[in-house]
Amino acid sequence: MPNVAELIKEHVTLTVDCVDRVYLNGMCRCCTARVGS
Amino acid sequence: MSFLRHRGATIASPALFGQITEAFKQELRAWCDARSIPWIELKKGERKDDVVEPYRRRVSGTAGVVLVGVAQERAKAWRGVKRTGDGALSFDFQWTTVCVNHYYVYFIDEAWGPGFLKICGYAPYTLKLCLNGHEWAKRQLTTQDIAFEALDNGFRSCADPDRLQALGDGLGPADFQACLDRCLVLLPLPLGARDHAAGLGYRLSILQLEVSRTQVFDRPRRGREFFAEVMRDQLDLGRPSRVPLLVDRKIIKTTPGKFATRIITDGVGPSLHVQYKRCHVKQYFKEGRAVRTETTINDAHDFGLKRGLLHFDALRQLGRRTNTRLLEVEQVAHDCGLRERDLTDPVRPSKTAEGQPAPALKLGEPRVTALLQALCLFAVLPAGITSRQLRPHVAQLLGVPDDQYTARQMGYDLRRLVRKGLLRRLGRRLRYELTTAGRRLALFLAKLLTRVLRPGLQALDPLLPATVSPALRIGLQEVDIAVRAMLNDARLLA
Repeated sequence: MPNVAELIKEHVTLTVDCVDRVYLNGMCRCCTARVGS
Repeated sequence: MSFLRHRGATIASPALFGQITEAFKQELRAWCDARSIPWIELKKGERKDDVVEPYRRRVSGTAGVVLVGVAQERAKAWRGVKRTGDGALSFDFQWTTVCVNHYYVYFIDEAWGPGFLKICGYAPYTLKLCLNGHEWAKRQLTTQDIAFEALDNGFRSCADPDRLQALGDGLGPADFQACLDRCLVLLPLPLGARDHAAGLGYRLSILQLEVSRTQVFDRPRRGREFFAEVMRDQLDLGRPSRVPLLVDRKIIKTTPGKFATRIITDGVGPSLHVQYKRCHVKQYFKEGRAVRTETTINDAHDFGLKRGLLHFDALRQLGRRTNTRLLEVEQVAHDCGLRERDLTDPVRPSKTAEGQPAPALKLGEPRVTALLQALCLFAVLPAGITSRQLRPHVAQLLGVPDDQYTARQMGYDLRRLVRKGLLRRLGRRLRYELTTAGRRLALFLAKLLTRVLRPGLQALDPLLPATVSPALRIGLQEVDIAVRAMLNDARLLA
């Protein structure tokens, strides 16, 4: 059975480096700032 | 509360928040009704993607809103408490956790494909935008008329792999912002156009980022072989299914959080999980065809970075480096054969380039072996390891209480590895990581000890239970019989 290095070198047909899920936070700064009442 | 002043309020009252919340809810509901967009309640515990999927299939065209789902969830929000005693009506606001309605707007974006926007129904009306880079790349390929075959949310094949990689590399903050801008134009929100015009716009930051490498095998069998080899190696190197790893902070009995390596072989596909603070590195078999190595960064601060979009590239690079390192370690673990020099240099006394003495490492000495074995456990951690974190593991491998392997001994041993070029200090901190040569040597010795020396020596000891391979046992018995026969012939036996 081929080892890990051989499997990756000889039997991988496509390699893709890509961002998968991205979770972004949208915040309005003025709504989180306390300026007193 | 400055935004309440902008809205003309003379007293910052929580009642105003309630009015904004109610107006937003009614406006969004009316907006959905006018467009026949489903409005559903999302129940606690159910998988939202499973609920949404049938609705998503019904959407015609390349873009549109799929549905709006309402769920009660916890959020950080302002809670107003009436101030008493000073005559005038006023409120104190506390930043606290509350349980409020969140509105999930599931959409199909023209550039991003499926995603959702989660809107908190109460002040400070935060948004959360969830997108997928693979789906974005698919849309780009379609636009550029490049053929591809999908593998779940990834790719099984592509007519132009280089172009696909270039597209993935080109994804950036401007694409996230463009998607949010399209949502802001399309949807009614608690903070409307008037607020945005007054400078009360939303600023995006990265809450969670998954950076993946997908490697598609020519046959499913090759993928299964990959995992069979990887799992075998992780177990052999002294990694049981749950090995607590102590990382980058002082860990005491009551310290919250998980720090662990897990290998899961139950169920359909095997997977390997490494957790570092809030960062999670995962490797799993995708659709029986590809291995996906994925680093999930849940808090940029774990790596000394900030969450702003400006740090997106740095975080992406960090994720890629982590993926590459895990794959490197797995390959080295299978091909850690060393040149003669790699073994002879560490066992001879030498000097560093700066002229500092580098004492010899006595390979086979229990302390050196235990140290290198312990370092193997931390070979993939992106932020390295401190001596304080490593010491209990070395003591455990030596079979002595922690206090018998002192910090001073540990410091000496680590310095020796640094001077031999097997370990590297990270910055000016007392934090170390294995060099490539160190990683090879550590893995080579760990394997030599666990797979060759221990079973071999056990085979030679007739008092120990025979767990070695029958072929070796029979061979050694034959040698024993032949030697006895020779001694008998020479009349040397009593």
